[in-house]
Amino acid sequence: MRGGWALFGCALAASALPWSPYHRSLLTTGLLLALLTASWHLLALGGRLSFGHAAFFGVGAYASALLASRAGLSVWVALLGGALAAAAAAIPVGALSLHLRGPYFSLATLAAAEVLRILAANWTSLTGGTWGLVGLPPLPPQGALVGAGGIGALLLVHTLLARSRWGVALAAIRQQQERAEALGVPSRPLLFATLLTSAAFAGLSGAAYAHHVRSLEPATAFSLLFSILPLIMALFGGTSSPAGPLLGAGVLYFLDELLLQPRFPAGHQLLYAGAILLVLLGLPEGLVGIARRRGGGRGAS
Amino acid sequence: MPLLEALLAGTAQGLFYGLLAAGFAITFGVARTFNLAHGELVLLGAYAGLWLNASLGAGPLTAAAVAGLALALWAWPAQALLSRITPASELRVLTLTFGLSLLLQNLMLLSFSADYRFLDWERAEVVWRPLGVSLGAGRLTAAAAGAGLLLVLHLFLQRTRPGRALRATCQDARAAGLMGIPVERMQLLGLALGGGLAGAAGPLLATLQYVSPTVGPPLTVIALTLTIAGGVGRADGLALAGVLFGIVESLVVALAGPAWREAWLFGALLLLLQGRRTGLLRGRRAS
Amino acid sequence: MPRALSPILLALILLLVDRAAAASPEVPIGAVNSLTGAFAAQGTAIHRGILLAVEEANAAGRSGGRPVRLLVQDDEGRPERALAAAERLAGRDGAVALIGGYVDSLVGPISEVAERYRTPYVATASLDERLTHRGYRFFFRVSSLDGYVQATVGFLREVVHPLGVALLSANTPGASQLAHRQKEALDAAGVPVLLDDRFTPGLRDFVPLLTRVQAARAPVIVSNAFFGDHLVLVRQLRARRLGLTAFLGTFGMEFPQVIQELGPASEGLFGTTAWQPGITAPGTEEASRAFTEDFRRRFGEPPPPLSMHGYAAARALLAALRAAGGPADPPTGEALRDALARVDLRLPMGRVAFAENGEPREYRRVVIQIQGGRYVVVYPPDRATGRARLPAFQQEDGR
Repeated sequence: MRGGWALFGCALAASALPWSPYHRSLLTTGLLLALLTASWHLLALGGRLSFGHAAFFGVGAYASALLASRAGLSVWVALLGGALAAAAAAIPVGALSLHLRGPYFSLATLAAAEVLRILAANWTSLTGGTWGLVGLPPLPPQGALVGAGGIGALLLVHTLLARSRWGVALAAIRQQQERAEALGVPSRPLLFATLLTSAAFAGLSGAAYAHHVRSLEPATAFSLLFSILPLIMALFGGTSSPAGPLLGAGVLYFLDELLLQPRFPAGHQLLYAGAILLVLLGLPEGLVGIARRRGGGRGAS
Repeated sequence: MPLLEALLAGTAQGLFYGLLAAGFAITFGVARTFNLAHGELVLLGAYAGLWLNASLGAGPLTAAAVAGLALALWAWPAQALLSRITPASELRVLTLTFGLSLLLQNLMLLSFSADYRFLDWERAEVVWRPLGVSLGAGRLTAAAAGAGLLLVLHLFLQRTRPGRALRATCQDARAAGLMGIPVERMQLLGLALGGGLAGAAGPLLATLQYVSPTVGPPLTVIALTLTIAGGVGRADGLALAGVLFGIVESLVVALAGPAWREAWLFGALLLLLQGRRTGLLRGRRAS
Repeated sequence: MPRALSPILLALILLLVDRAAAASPEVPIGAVNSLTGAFAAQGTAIHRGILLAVEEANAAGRSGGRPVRLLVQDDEGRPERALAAAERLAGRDGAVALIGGYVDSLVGPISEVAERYRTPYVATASLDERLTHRGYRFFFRVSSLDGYVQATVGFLREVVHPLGVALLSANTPGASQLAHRQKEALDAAGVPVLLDDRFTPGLRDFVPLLTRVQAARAPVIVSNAFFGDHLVLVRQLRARRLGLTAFLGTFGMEFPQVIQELGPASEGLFGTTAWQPGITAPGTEEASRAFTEDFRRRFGEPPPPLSMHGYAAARALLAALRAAGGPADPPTGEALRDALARVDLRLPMGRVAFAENGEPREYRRVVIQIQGGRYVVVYPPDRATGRARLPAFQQEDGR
């Protein structure tokens, strides 16, 4: 937990520093991916591995883009609208998936993301359909703060979890759902609340993304990549504490953009894949494992 | 006749989907993970088939057999990698396969370029017309090969000792171990079957659609979907799920148009899933 | 706890040490293309055209006294990567101009960055009309939707005279906008559009879609889909009796692989092309041959038609660079932009000059038909080298 707050401090400080526009842009994308990864991890605490966070990312992106460009709201308000819309989308998704376990849950979320993508592509009067949206209002210069702020808020949720029975109950559901239920843990409402929170943060990440790249189409907003990247980045960093996913997203993204891309334009993805495999095989706990001395490690948050 | 035609086309397509999923399902059974590199294994098989076709003039069935045998060899490196992952959690192995998928995709890009390729085969153009319906030999071959391999797999899993042992390992490796089944060897066998079936699907795929190093992920999604819908360790379930999937896809496109194809497919899948309450991995902790 | 920070500190240090490269006597130009990912084939083709133009100019000393250095970035087919690539090139590496791009979802973010940095951007295969209606001053492109609409609709109206048309389009922004414009133009011309369907590229089985064409009784299919889809579609089309008069594929039918892969099944198909080896704007035959030869020597294969889009865009940029820059300093973005607005070249793809909003003044695609295993230009009349053979569709049982 402390590691998480330290990372948040870094992110906040970094967002405030006078970077060049290029580095600011990188920082924004990096923090948004970290936020998406952390939102995915929140749900994973309840033992639910989502394969469909692109659904919430995409809904947040579209809602915020439409609120800002069609309804003329300020981008800051639209971002919040995006987060809320994603949480709203999580209600039907959750109703159709949360009673499922293991791979069935993963597949249900994947299917939900696909259905939402096709909906966005065909509901032309609302979303502009397959033409996509271009020239969206830009993220204000302090845009990196959205990522940092979202991460801060998410860490507050984690603190709340750690201090309340919510966190204990989630851990119990993750480990043995039947036993937890037998002991009177209300697993459905708890998981639902967790999913809605997770979706809202993923939606915030997508909303900021829309104004960052300033164009959107169903295939990119609901891309399978936004479902898989958080999973990979979380594991790269380590899933045993809130710091891991943040660390994993940050390191993988900046490693690729700053070291691999510029030096190896043709082979950077090979090296990227290599880095994933290396950490996986060499570090059982992910990157946060480096930071822990043997015996000094704490349990899951 | 259009509806009958769409129905038959969907069935043929579905049998091939079943084959596409078979390798994935067995790998899932023994390695307890979605193999996100499955599509790339199929593509490796496809490129092997393209090479055999271009250099030796092999037809799709010969190419599928050879590619299948070659890709079965992937079991050894795969098992070595799996055993290096400790503690082996579902999520960590999953990430490993994502890394592999990216690695293979880029290696293929470097070796074969991004060009689209097709496995050319003169008899693919032959057409039969029973009942006023057109049936292309190319598609029928892929469907028949899919059906044949699924049948063989079914008989192997149900009727032979190693098959039953493999099935037991898929269902519960620990219990299988207690019953004296050599779990490690079964895992190797499962991975070899998984790789082999993926490899065999490759050249057939190359007769149905263009292949390029980056078309793997959608194949993985199909395989994943059918595996969950059809069940692990049951070839008949896969065949049934594949055919249903193919028919729904086909009828939706014919009747409602292609724009909503994926929405119907995945919507139907969501409904189908509603009946399944517990996971395949019951009793295992997710990390 | 502080050790938990070490990787993030490392990342911050990386950010800090990642400073611009030392000044060099070369003029940097930034190229952003999909070298990996879903559009790798198209992106690589475009990239090679650009590369060839730059190497050629450097060898001939044609770029205004100082050699040009091409800075390469891969967008992986992802918008956020295209954005980061453009930011890096324009903001950090000091690229005086940007070039490249295949799909509009990637061109859009690059054009936003270019405008912000006042760095000219020449897009190589962009179509979305909204991109040139934003009043951006630093956005130019060598292709336009108009070129596609005029070629396809003009051909149908003047040559084919069909009783109706089925439009089958990929659900990408470019293809769906093209379908929309085609439908408008066909409606205006009194040609009924009997079917207007969109699908996700990469469909494996077109049979159910073809039953819809059959039910709609459309004698002509216009396929606004991509190369790979055409191959599958045509194969399955050949196997049934649809009573089709013509099949016109808008994108990618000009790739030589169509004839290679489909063999005799490719006979009679129509497509469109802006350029390809042997089909070139009048008066540029020599330049076209030279380009084809140089490309083959450099990359060991004949140039894909898309490579000419990269080459033409790069030639326009290099010409502007020469016009704007003295040998001493690289030109400012503003000067280079003005020079680009004045560029007027005759290249194999046709006249390359830009209108005020960045659209090409001329982007012509001609309609081609595969006859006897070769491409023949059949429309427009002033470019035609042969007559369109109609009905052009031999179905399986016709042979």
